[in-house]
Amino acid sequence: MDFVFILQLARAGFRELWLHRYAALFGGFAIAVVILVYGMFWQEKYTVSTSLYADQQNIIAPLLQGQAQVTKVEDQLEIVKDLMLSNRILEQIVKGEDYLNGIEDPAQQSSIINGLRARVEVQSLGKNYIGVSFADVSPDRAYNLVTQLVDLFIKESSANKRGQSKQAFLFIEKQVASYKEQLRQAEDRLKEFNASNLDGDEGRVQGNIEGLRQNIADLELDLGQASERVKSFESQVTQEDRYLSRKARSEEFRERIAEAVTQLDNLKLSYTSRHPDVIALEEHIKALRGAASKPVSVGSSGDSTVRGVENPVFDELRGALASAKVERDTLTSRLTSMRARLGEERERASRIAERDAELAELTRDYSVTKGLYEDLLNSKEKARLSMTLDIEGQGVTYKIQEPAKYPLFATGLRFIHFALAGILAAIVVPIGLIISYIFLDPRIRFSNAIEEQFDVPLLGEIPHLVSNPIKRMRKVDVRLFVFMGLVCVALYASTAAFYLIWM
Amino acid sequence: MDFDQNPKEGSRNIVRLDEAEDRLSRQQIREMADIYHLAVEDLDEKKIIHSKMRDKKILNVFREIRTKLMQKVGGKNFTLLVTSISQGGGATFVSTNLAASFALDHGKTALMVDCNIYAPSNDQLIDGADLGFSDYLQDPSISMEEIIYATGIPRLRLVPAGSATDLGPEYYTSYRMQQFVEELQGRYADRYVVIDAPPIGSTADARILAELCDFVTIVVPYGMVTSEQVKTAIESVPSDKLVGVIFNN
Repeated sequence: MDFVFILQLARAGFRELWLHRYAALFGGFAIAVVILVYGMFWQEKYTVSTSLYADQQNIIAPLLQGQAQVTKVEDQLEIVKDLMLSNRILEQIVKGEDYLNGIEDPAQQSSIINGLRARVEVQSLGKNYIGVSFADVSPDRAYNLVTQLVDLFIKESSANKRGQSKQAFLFIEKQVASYKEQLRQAEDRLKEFNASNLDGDEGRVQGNIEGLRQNIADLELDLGQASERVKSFESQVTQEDRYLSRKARSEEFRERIAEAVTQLDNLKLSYTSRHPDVIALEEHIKALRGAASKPVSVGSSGDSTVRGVENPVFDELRGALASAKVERDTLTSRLTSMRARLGEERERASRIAERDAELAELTRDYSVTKGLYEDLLNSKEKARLSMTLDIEGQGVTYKIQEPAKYPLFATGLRFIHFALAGILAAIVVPIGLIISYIFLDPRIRFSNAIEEQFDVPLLGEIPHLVSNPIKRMRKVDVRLFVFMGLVCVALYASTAAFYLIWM
Repeated sequence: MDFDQNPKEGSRNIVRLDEAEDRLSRQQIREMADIYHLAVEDLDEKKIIHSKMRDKKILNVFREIRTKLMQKVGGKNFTLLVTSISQGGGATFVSTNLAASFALDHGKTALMVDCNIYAPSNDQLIDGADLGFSDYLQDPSISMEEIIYATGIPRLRLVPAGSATDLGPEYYTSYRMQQFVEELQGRYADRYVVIDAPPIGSTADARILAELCDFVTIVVPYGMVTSEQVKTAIESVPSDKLVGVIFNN
C-alpha cells in the first residue's frame, strides 16, 4: 500500500462519506447513544485490596534448621487460598453481611458463596507477600468483606496450624509406640533363638572335623603298618619252624664233607691220588655229598635227633606276632569310632548352617525395626518442637502489611469511559464501514484499476468539477450538515454531562 | 470575431463551395455571436472549460487529452465518438469540454453533435433550438446549415439532438447519416467533430455510430460501473478505433 493509494483511498472515502453523510451522521450518533446508554446501566465497581506478610524469618527458624519443620510461604499461596476461601470463613462473612437477604435455601446460599469465592482475588505479590482484593458495586460491602476476610483468615490460620502440628505430633507418637512394640518382639525372638542353639558355632565344628580327619588319616597309616607287621611275623613264624630241621642235617653233612675235604687235601700233600687212602676218602666225600643232596624223609631214622631240639627264636617270634595282632585290632576299633565321630560332626555342621540362615533373618528384622524406631524417635522430637513453636506462635505467622482502605473512587470502566468510547465509535465505525464498502464494492473507483486490468490507454482522469450553482447548493448542504452534526454532539454531550453530574 | 479557416487542399469546386459556406457561416456567426455571448460566470455555471478559469487543473486535463488525440492522428482533423458506459456517466460533460478544448486553439474549430436523442442534454448550451440531428435524419428537406448552431463559445458549434425522439438505430446506418458525418468532418480541415453518443452499455446506438467515426473514447464514471462492464464496453468497440478511456471523477 503505497502513499498514492492511501491518498486515493482517503479521497474516495471522504467522497463516499459525503455522499452518505446523513447515514454516517445518524448511524454514528445511534452507535454513540447505544454505548452511552450501556454506560448508564454499567455498574461501577469499587476495588478494595490489602496485602498480607507471611513472617517466616523469625529468630527461631535458623536455630532449628533441620530440626523442626517451619512451613514455607512459597507453597503457601494455595494453602492461603484454600483456607481464606473456605466455606467456613465465607459462610461467616455471608451471614454477617447482607448477602443472603433472607435466603434460606442451602443450594442458593452455596451458589452465593461460590460467586463470592470466584470474585475474591488472592495472588502472590512476590516473596512473602500475598495480596487479597475484591471488587463490588458497593464500596461499603467491598471494604467490609476484605477486612473481615483477612481478620478471619489470620485467626483461622493460627488455630489451624496449631491443630495440624498437634495432630502430626500425635500421629508420630502413635507410630513410635507401635514400632517400640515391634522392636521388643524382634528382640525376644532373637533371644529365644540364641537360647535354643547348643551346637556351637560353625568355626568350632569345622575345627573338630579337621582334627578328626587328621586323626583318621594317621590311624589309617598306623593300621597299615600294624597289618604289615602281623603279616611279616606270621610268615617268619612259619619259615622259622621249617628252616630249623633242614639246617641241622645239611650242617652235619657240610661239616663232615669239609672235614673229609681237609683230610683229603692233607693226604694229597703226601700221597698221590692213586693212594688207596685218597681214593677211599674221595669215595667217602662223594657218598657224603650224595647223602647231603637227598631230601629229608620225616620219620626217618636219621632226623630224630634234630626234631627234638628247642628253638628260642621261634618262641620269641610267636610272642611278637601276638602283640602285633593286638595292636592292629586296637587301631581298627579306634578308626571305626573316629569315623563315626566325623559323621556326627558333619551332621552338626549342616544343622548349624540352617540355624545361621534363621539367625540372619531374625537379626535383619531386628536391625530394620530398630533403625525405623530411632528415626521415628527423632521425628517425634522434631514434631514436638514444631508443635511447641506453633503453640507459642513462633512458626509462620501472617501479618497485615497494608491494611484495606475505604475506596473513594471506582476502578475499572466508568461512565466517562463509555461516553468517550461512544464518540470514538461514532467516528471510527462509519469510516471503517465506508472503507470496507469501497474495498468490497466491485465498481471502479480508482483510475489505475483501469490501466491495470485492461490493455487500453487511460487518456486522462478528469477531476471532480463542481459548478457554481452546485457549490452554492453544497454550501447550504454543508451548513445543514454541520448544524445537524452540532445538534447531535450537543444532545450527546448534554446527556452525558447531565448523567455525570446528577446521577 | 472568429472565423473558420479555409481548407488549404481540395478541388476547385469544393473551394468555391467552401467560400460560399464561409460567407454564409460568417454571417450566421456574426448574428449568433451577437445573441449569445457567454460570460465567464456562465461557462463556469455550465461546467465548460475556458482559458480564464480559475481551476487550471481540469483545463489542463482536457488540454492533455486533446494533445494526445492530436498526436495520434498527426495533426489531421477527425471525428471522435464519446460514449459512457452507463447513463449519467458524464459523456456529455466530457464531449462538450473536449470540443471546447479544441476550440480553445485559435487555429481550430470544433463541432459537437448531440446524438443522445433519448436524453438530450445540450439544451444548456443553446436555447430554443427547434431543429436538430434527429430532425435532419428524418426530414430530407432540412439542410445541414439549419441544424448547426453557434454556442456562444468561440469556435465551437453544436448540432443539438432535435425533437424527434422515436428515431431507431436504422437511421444511423442510413446513407444520409453516413453522408452527414463525412460532410461535417470533410468540409473544413481544421474542424474537429465530437459526437456525444448514448451510453454504450444500454443501447446499440453507440456501437453503430462508432462505425462512422474515426475514434472512440469511453468515459468510465467514478463508482458507477464494474470491471466487467468496462470489459464488455471495450470489447464492443473495434480495437483500432478505441483511443482510450477517460476516467471521470
